[in-house]
Amino acid sequence: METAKNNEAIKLPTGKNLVLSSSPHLSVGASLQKIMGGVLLAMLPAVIAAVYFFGIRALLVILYTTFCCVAAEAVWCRFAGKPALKTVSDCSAAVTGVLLALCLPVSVPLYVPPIGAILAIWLGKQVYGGLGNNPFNPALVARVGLLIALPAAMTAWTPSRGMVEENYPQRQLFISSTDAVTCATPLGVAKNSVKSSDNTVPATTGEENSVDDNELYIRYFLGDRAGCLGETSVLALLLGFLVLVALNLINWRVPVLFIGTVAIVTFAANRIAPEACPSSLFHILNGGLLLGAVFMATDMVTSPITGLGCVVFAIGCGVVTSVIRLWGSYPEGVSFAILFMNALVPLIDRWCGGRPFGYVRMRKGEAK
Amino acid sequence: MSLRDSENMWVLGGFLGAVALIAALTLAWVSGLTAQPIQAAKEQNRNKMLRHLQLPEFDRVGKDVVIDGIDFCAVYKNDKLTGFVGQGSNRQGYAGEIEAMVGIGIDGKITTVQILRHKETPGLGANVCDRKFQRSVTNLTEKAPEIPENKFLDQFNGLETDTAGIWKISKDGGNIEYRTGATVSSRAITALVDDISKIFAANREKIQEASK
Amino acid sequence: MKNSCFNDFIKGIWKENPVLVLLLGTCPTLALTSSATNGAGMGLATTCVLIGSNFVISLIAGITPKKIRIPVYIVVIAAFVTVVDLLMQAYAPPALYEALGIFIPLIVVNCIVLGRAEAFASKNSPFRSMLDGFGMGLGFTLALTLIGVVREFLCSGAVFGIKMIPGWTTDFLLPGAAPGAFIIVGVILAIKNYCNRRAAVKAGKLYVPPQGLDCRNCHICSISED
Repeated sequence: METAKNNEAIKLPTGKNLVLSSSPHLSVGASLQKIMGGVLLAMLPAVIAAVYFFGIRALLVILYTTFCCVAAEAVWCRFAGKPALKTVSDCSAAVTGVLLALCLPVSVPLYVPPIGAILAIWLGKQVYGGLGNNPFNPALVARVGLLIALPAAMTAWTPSRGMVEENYPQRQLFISSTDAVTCATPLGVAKNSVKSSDNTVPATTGEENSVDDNELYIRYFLGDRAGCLGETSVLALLLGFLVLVALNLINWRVPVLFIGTVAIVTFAANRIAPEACPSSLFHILNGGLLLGAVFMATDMVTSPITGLGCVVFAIGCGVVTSVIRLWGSYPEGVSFAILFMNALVPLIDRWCGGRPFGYVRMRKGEAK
Repeated sequence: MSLRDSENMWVLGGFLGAVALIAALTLAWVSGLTAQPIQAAKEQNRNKMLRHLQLPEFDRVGKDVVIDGIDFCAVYKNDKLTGFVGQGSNRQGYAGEIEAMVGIGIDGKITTVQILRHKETPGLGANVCDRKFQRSVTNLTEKAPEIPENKFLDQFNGLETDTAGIWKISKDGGNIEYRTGATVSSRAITALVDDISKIFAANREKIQEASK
Repeated sequence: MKNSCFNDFIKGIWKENPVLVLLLGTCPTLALTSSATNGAGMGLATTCVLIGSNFVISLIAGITPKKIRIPVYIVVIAAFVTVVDLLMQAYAPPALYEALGIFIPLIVVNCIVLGRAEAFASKNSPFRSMLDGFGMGLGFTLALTLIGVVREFLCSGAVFGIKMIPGWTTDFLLPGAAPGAFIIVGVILAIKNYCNRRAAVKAGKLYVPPQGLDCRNCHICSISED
């Protein structure tokens, strides 16, 4: 256990050492490894769901991306003069790697994870001074960077196991990126139908062949739809959420308020214009909302310090996500929303910062 | 007090006015010199696009006639009709407006489709809109083709405008192959070309008359 | 050496490069360097304006009332920019003219032009002002071309439109987009600072890092330890 920097050992006449140090004096035994290990454990159900629905290539992508992120961190530390082994062993690069992998589609070409790793670790974290200094969530920086850089590779979705509809053949267990058939995500279909003004693709509430069907909700909940590796299975992500709350690693209000705000805004939009806006349950079960809300909006480095700040942060994320999903040109808005709110975190901290201990606010008219 | 330290409003204003006058005279002179070349460059630019429609050789462009929002004109060689050009736009692209120019031969068949303006996503929708010749180290000395190929747009070459009105991409039941990831852009371009061809077929005589 | 005419010309290329050292004119730098030809074209247009405006301004600087010198300089610069715009419209390749678009009129407010007019041309002889304008313009062009080459190559393996690596079919769009521009210019600035430091250390002189430099625990070079 590291001791405080201003430790002074004073030798007493009895021969013992009197050690002076400042608070805190009580330790809960938390270490960076333990926290990161807890997060990795929470992501395990999502990883298992990814492998179940998308095949063994999903596992290959996840392990490869994690290896790339760890390697990127080691390479930077080696050149920047930081102790490489110590920095890597705090597992934060591994967590970023798994999280980034869960944001990639399964048919991603093999040159994408190294580029993603460099964007996440070098640009998203190390340039700012390493862990704890980054203003933006590294996995999201990489995801958005890859989306801008390689849009075709990042939006090529493969059908998941069990998508036995008329248009898609039965998924094979081993998918190679060269002969996979592509399909669209439900959110993508909904967005395209809104953009095609002649409405040749019915997709929203109440219409025939719509993606917003009550029977499809069970499939969306279990995860049997096209999408990124980690975002499809709502069930697995809820398990992850419970693990994180049980281990007391996150502020549970953030995911709950984030998803709640999206639900409220999309519910209102659905009531006003049902043919242009799918129902709010559709929005909750689809896209990267659960993944972003549980794992990325709760990242302790990039979210506000105080509880009130986190509440404001979560509501802001929810509002921006809904706006992008309903009226923006991208079908999915979670990553942009979280990055946008990450940028506003210093402002939120300033306005919602707690009162320093012992500070008494002056009442009007009181003399100094 | 020298001119430099003057603070008299009239002196200051007069100096600025004098400088502005000299600048304006210079610009008027240069503008006069370059007016002709600029006009010629603009003409050449427009004709360049017209010449990239694979129409038979022409030396005169007829008057523009607008029907249902589509700009048509006929082209002539030695006063003999050699083809037609239709130009129009719609707002059905993924990011907004797409403007296309369609060359139609006297047999009523489409010769080439060129996209003049679009704002589609680079890497996705832009791939169906742009015709680009990629010069690389392996073909440094090769002459760039007049009309670089674009697999999607080239599908329209040779289609009879009489059959227009029902052209759709294969996803909507038609015969035009669309590109994955560019569904909305493909659909928009198909609708636009279909529209232009349909209006042309219905008004061919009128266009021929009005665009002499 | 410091005061020679040659130094007026050469300082704009490396020691006081407007983009990499003086950090002026970053708007066209970031916007027009997505391909090397656009960057070079913009640099050449700005160089023409710089030479012309520096020459004329140094001629009239002696008689211009101090109170209205900025509007007078702007009128002169705007006249030169309009001349360059008309000439480009008439004689430049249409593809280049359309690609540069609104940025040609924006040369008027390019800080390099007014900055050199105010800082140098108004205090020096016409010949030296012309050399200064030429040097700064050349430095601007070289910097823009370098950044354009890097961005175009990272984006599609092409340089000046010619693909160097034939097998590269998927365009990597991040360097070609605005965020990539910021990142790449930042990296090039870092490399320039590193080169400056090494040159200072080699010559035994004291290296003064740029103001406000915050290295954030990075020890790739040792600027922060000086």
